Amino acid sequence: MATIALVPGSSRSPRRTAQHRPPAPVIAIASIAAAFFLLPLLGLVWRAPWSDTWTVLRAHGTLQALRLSLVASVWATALSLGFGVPLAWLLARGDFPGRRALRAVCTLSMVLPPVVGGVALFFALGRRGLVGQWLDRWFGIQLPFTTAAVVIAETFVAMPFLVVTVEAALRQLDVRYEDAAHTLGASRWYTFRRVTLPAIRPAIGAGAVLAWARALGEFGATITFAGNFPGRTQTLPLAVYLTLERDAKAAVILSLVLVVVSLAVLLALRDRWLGGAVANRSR
Amino acid sequence: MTGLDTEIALRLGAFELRAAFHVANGETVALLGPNGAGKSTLLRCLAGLHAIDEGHIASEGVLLDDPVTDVFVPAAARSVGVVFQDYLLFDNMSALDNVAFGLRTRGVARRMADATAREWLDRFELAGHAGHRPPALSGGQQQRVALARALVTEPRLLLLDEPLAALDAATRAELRRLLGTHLADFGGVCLLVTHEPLDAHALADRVMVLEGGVITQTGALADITAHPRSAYAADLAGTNLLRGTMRGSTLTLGNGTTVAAAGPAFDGPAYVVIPPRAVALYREPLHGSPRNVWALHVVDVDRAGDRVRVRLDGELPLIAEVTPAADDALRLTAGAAVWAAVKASEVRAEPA
Repeated sequence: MATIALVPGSSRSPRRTAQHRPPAPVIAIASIAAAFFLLPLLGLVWRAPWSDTWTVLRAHGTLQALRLSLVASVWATALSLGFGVPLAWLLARGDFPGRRALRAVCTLSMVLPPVVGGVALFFALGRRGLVGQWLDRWFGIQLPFTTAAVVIAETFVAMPFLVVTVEAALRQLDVRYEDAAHTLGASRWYTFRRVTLPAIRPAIGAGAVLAWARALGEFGATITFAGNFPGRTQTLPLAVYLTLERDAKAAVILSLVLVVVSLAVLLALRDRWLGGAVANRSR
Repeated sequence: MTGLDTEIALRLGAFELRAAFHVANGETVALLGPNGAGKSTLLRCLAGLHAIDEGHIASEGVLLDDPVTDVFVPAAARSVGVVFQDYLLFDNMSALDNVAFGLRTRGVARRMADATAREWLDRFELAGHAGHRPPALSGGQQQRVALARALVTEPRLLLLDEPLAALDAATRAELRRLLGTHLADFGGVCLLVTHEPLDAHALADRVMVLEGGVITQTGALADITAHPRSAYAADLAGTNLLRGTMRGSTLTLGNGTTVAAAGPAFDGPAYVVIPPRAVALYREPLHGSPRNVWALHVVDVDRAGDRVRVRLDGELPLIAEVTPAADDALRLTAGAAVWAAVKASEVRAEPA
């Protein structure tokens, strides 16, 4: 660095900057990709019946659906964090037979059609389900078609995103830092809290954002397992889909609400969390 | 038995480590050996990061590892301080928290732990850096934080894995001095893994040479230099080390003898390293090019295979290694007068 002589008044060498610019074909293709994502947004904005906006937003169902979406997705993220971090730790460091199979099962819902996930949840936790029948018989708990079911459905599809991100960070982490902590008298739990956890914190943040985003957009598993009851299980994506059948204009506005909320969160968190998914010291 | 008493047998894939030794309290032993000799593995066993297959490890008469009676004290429960090769400082904590870590894990209250950690930072001239995180510190400063972190719990067993390897020459000299003063006060057992005979010479009371998982030689560095039992011991451990005062590129020994060295010039206390193979011997006085010529006499000759080590004394103590042919031609016997010549370019100088 110090060997690069700077011309007074210029902050960097123009030749270096040019060298690091992507070549023209890359710029061209990347522009097409960017347009592919930008155009649908513009389509929404172009189609939006701006004069009706206020009426649609003021409608009782809209706010209810938005609030339910936010509450359920935050709960799903919290559950994903609470259960997903230990699961990622077990998958990354555990030494037991069938670990690879377990990882496959735990991340299956990332590739499974969400509707299938919803059906599966129904047969596991529904009133006649594998576990659900006992929940009903012993505790009188019926999960399907409740807000809790929305949270469960969202957690089911969202948690793998966190698990995969955190597991990758744990694998890249140099275990010798944990050795160092042990030689300093730290128990395994103390080491996990004070050394391992801080080192993977950026990955946990990134995984949580991904999981939250997935939960917010959840549709298939939710409508199958939780149904579509306004105020109880109708989240904003469900509201958009059902509104589209009777009132396309209102559906556009609801979609834009979802776009604005998602974009705001991604913009606020992206650089902070997704920028450095893995801590710098996991060299 | 006080101190460290070990007899280790361990198998890691195709590699096998077999080492038995005793280190007394207050003693520092340098562990020299080529890469892959098992030095770090040995340290890991002593630290409690790896269990041994056979034998035992005992410190102060207490068994730490004994497969027969199924005793294994894990690292967290051993009184051990380790300085790792690349320090492994916790980047998410300040220097102070790094040093206080070993006290906090043992239940010392935060204020007490911080006060003690601060004392140790002071001792290592890091008072102004307590709040800095390791990435903001220089290599030498990180090294000192690592030392303070290992020493703060006053361990019975101090394990240093190439603690000076990653530093530049000037910082290395400074830290070698600092480490020397601390080891002099240290009442426990210290094992120092190193590649560098200079470090062993400056810091250790005794040297163990570990090759291929086996201790091939142990004793004073000077003895290993004079009578190396392996090629590694001869080439890397067994080299001439002389201490004196450097002025420009000439070192003056205590008795006034001068040694010309190559490399960057500097002033102050210094070591020079002269590889025994760089020493040429003559029976006649020399006239001409090499800048270093000393009149010496043969003390003894150590003949081992194709390697002949000649211990010399006179203007300076020196070990030369010559071929058996040269040995025959020169008729080297104890007391014989010889002239030793060394090119300045073969002499490495380092600040002491």
